[in-house]
Amino acid sequence: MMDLWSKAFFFGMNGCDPILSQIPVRVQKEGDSAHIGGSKMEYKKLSVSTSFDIKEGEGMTVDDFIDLPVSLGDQMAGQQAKSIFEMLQKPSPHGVPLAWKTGELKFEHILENWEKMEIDFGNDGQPRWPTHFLQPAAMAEFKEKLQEAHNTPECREKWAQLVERKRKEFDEREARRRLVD
Amino acid sequence: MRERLVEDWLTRINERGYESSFCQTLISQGYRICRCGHSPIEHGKDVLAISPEGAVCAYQLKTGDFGQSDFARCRDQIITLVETLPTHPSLPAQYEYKPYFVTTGEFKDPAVSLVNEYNTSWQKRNLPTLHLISGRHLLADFIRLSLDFWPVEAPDVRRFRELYLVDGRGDFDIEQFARFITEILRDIKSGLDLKRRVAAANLFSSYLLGDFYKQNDHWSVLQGWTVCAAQIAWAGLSGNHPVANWVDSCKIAQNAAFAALESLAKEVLTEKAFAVKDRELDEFVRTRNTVAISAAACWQLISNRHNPQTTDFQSTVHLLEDYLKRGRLYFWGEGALSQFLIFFWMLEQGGKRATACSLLLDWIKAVTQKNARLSENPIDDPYNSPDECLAKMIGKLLPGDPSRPQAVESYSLFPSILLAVRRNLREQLNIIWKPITNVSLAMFRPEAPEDALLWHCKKGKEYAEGFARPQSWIELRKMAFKDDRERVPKVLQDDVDFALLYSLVFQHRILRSLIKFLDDEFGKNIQRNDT
Repeated sequence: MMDLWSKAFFFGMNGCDPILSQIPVRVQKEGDSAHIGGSKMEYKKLSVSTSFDIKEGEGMTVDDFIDLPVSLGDQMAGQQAKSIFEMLQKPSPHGVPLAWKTGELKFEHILENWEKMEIDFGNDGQPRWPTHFLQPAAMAEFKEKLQEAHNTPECREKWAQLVERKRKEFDEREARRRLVD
Repeated sequence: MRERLVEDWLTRINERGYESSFCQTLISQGYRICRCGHSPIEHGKDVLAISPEGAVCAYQLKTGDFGQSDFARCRDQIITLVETLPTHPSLPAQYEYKPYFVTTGEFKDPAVSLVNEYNTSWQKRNLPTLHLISGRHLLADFIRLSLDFWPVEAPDVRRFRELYLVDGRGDFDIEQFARFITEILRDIKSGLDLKRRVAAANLFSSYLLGDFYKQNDHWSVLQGWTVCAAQIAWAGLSGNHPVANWVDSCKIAQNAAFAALESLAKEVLTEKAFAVKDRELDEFVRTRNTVAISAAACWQLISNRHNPQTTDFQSTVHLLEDYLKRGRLYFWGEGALSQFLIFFWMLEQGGKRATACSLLLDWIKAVTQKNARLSENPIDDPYNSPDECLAKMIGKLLPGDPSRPQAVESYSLFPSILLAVRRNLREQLNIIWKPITNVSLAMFRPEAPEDALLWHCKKGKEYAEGFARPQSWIELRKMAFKDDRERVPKVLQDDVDFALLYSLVFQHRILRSLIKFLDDEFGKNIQRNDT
């Protein structure tokens, strides 16, 4: 019975959050600490809880028995996502927070944001732009601003310059992936 | 209940299955074991030991009840046991000799009467007399030694029950077995307590491996004894106990593991050893081929150190080459690095340098390609057993619940590259270096070297790193030849044969220091100079 409960919990945790479902998980197999890329991993304990009524000789319905752990799993995923967003607030070459007041996003903000990040290029020579996690309204404004920029020659020029700078940085990074004496 | 269980085990076990536990009872009575195991030179003496009083005792082990007709059947063996003095390098020049005949059942009265008559005759001829040890006597000894260590807590009882109630054909749960033995060996309070616990570890291993002995599942037997020996050594080393308090028990477990390894190596070379007699998935069959041939190769590598280039060694090299060529081997996950390394060294020692190098580079290329960052179909990490990898492979073909992507790393790539660096394969590595840098290199380092002897290590650090960009070849060479054997548990440093067996069984314990240590011992074509 507890196996079923756990299965439903993990179903809720793994299947509900669109952001978490894209972020790879690293499981610690042995030992008591991990060092990734030279930095010590900081583990943070997260927990969720629930309660149910004790009834004489009466158990849960199938729906309740499944819904409760799925909902708990969903809450756990929410907590994990929150922790991840807190972590993403710290700028790094792989992620930079982008914040603006509604209606005040400028194309330059986006360029500045991407300028600070490492951009990779695919085998087709095209840049692999970072993924943005935004609320629907903010995403609509973001897309609109990009479309506007696309139609403005001056913005297109700035964009092309950024791509070239990033391509040069990428090529330099790639050139370092070799054996030397 | 406990008595019934040991009695049940004793009635079902074969001779080899209780050899180790019998030796353990002798050690616990102060005897020193000189030799344990069936061999063509045993001459009716399966176990040779020196008693606390200095008498040399030889034991012939049998199973079941013993009547007059059974005695007649074994007459020649018994006469050889009594009338020929044992020879062994560790025996003193002059000694009192005591032969024993042991069985797991009872001696029937006519048989006892016959032995008495023989004894009278031997006495008249100034020969030693034969002593009998029956199952009742063995049972009392076994129960006494294991009495305090029977599982009491519910999860431990359940684990014991599941480990004991097996079919004995491939259903050995090594992880649970290791956990059970660890429970016996933890919280050691004194030297005396250590002695009792290591004795119990050997006895319980005998109980739990009984059905695997019965079914001739040599692979499971050798895994079990290797884990037991390693964990006994851990108990001794981690508590800084005098070696004398645990080494004899450790040797018993090691010998039992080597005996099973030898049996498997012999079986592999018999006709139709690999015949598939039932409906089986080809990946499963190829996995079994890989495990069996690697165990055979492991035995041949060990034998080759003492008796080079025997016919069996050459036959095993040919068998390996043939199975490689025909694609009849299967490396199920990174845990198969254990098997891979044995094949690599076997091919090198068999004079097949080109095949060995090609195999090594193929492994590096495969891991690089499959375990690149963000890969969707990586090779499973070494913590997955062959069965788990096969189950996952089949599971991927079936629709399942949503799951999150796992971080993709490789535990085996760096050690494999170090082997290539030690053979100066710079040109070949240069060609594939760029994709190699796209792999996250994982490693586990136990807090203390001896903790590596535990199946599951609670203390230690995991690392995930990448090669430098650019990566200096000179630095790689330094890493490849740096002597860091102080990271290798002492018991493995002191016994390279056991170190090889350990690396075969502990498939998840990929230690660079151990691989380099073994490469020094078993590798050929190592080029210490850069030219």
